[in-house]
Amino acid sequence: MIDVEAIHGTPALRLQDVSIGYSHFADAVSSISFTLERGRRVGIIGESGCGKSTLGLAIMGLLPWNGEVRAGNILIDGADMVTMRERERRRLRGNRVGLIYQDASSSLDPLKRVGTQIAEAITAHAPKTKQINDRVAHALDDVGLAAANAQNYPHELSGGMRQRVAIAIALVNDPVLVIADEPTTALDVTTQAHVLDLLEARVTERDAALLLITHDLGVVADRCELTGVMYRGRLVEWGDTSRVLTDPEHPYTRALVECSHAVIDSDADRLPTMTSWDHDEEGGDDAL
Amino acid sequence: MISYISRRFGLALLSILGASIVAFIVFRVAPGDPARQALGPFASDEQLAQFRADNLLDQSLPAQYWAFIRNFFTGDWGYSYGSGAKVTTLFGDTLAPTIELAVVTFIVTVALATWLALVSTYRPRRWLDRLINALAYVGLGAPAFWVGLVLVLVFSQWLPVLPGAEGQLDFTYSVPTVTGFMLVDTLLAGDLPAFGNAITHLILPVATLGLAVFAYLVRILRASLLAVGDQQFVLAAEAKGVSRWTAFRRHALHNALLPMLTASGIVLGQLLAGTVLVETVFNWPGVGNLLTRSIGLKDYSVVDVFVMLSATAYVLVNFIVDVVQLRVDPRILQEEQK
Repeated sequence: MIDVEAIHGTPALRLQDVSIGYSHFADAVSSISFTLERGRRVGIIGESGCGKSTLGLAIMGLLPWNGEVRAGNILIDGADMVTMRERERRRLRGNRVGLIYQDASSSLDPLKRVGTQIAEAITAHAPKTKQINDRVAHALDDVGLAAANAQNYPHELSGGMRQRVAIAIALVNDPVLVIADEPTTALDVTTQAHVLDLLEARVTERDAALLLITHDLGVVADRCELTGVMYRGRLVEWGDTSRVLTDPEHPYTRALVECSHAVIDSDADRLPTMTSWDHDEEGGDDAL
Repeated sequence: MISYISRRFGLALLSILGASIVAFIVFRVAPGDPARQALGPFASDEQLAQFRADNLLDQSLPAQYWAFIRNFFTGDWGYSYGSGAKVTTLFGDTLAPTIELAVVTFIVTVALATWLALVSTYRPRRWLDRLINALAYVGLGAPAFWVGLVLVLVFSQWLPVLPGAEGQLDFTYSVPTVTGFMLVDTLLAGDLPAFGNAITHLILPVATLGLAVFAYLVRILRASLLAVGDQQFVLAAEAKGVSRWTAFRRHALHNALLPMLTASGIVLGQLLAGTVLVETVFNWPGVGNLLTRSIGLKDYSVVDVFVMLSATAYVLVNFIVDVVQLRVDPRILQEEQK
């Protein structure tokens, strides 16, 4: 038997049968498994409420207080986020795994200077860092911003610049895994492309893995070699992006792909819709 | 920045002037004759007329107001109608104990309210929520003088652990008056037992005054923290690897501070301007007792000065709050410039 880990090293992220739920409700995410090696990029797509953001938060160990991982393991760089203590989780967050969260105008503290917010990510893991200003300047330079921007407050920057700052924060400690949850939904299309180019380049440079959570099929098609499709809490499709787009296995993926074709061809009167599909037809699901 | 501050300062001055004019007129329009109050029922008409002429009471209201303002700013505050004592002396003796009580109450309640609001919101804790809500209802609902009486009854009568209506210090201690602030004077005298004694005398009045203030502040800050705590930047801070407590303290608290600051300013102003009933309960030698006596006697010379002083304190505190807000929230300046 071939030992995969011996060839690729420890995978950046490995999910084994992960189920997540809130309060006493049915699972929001049910038995998801996949492995993501360093240097690879995966796009997780799905409609609102399919559980993709919950998945991202669970990997960070940052579920809201009423949410919990009910089963399975989440291994980041070989360490299990589910069973470890909060103190150890904190050591991984922002250090081995970075998060870029949706809208940068709300994920930056409006009352603190940009430089301070980047420095916070550094000192959280190395409190005695010397020449912190140099590190901040370097981090800003890394995402195409000037060192002087460290003195700015978030409201003094444009949306694209703010998202660059968020990327700088996520990457400042050279993580093995970067989770980007809808990182560009608040930006216009041109800025979106610039920011994604930057993110892709910086992640690749570090040989880190990228988990891109989005509802935009086009973004995934352009930038991710792997695609996962989530539907009603399940990972219904997983594989090479080209294969998923040309030969989807699941009816939901098929409908999704047809939708985007319909827009491009624009000879259809109406967009195709999912008529009816139930997990039960494939056997077994919690009542939703 | 400078223009913002000077504009606020101008507004502050205007509000002091406005408050003093309103109080000046209202107090004089209200029925009652200060000359009769001061000289008693057996004074002759000539004596009354002489008293009015001496104190400018026979002149028009604008003339009286102008004379008052001129004298106030030149430091000539006149004499009390009732006791004949210099008004400056009366306030000199009583202001410090009131300010001491107000400031200590303010510091203790703000610190306690901030801490409790943080602890009860950074993670859901239902029992603590309920405790704080109960305390807040009692604090807002019960009148301060009643709370004071109950506290004296329980902690000074039934379990005699704290001094009750005994002023600032036991008679057994004697400390030279330097600043008038008992905590400062005892320390200046190097008399640590007296300092401790002064603290024990502060506990019940501070608790009485502070309960309502605490209830008000903790509710404002909690509501504000709960709203801010759900925002993404708190989660984003946690994603950097800091603990929930640190993320909350650093980011949520800072963002929740603006309404708290405004409320604190109002509260400190009120504390400085009037702790009248509580001072009466605890026999505190502050301006409260002086003021109630002077209002009863229609002693214009004392009341006018008090209104001026308390309006100044109130407005000054709120002016300071405006300036501090600039430090807390850099966006205010930008809003102003638009």
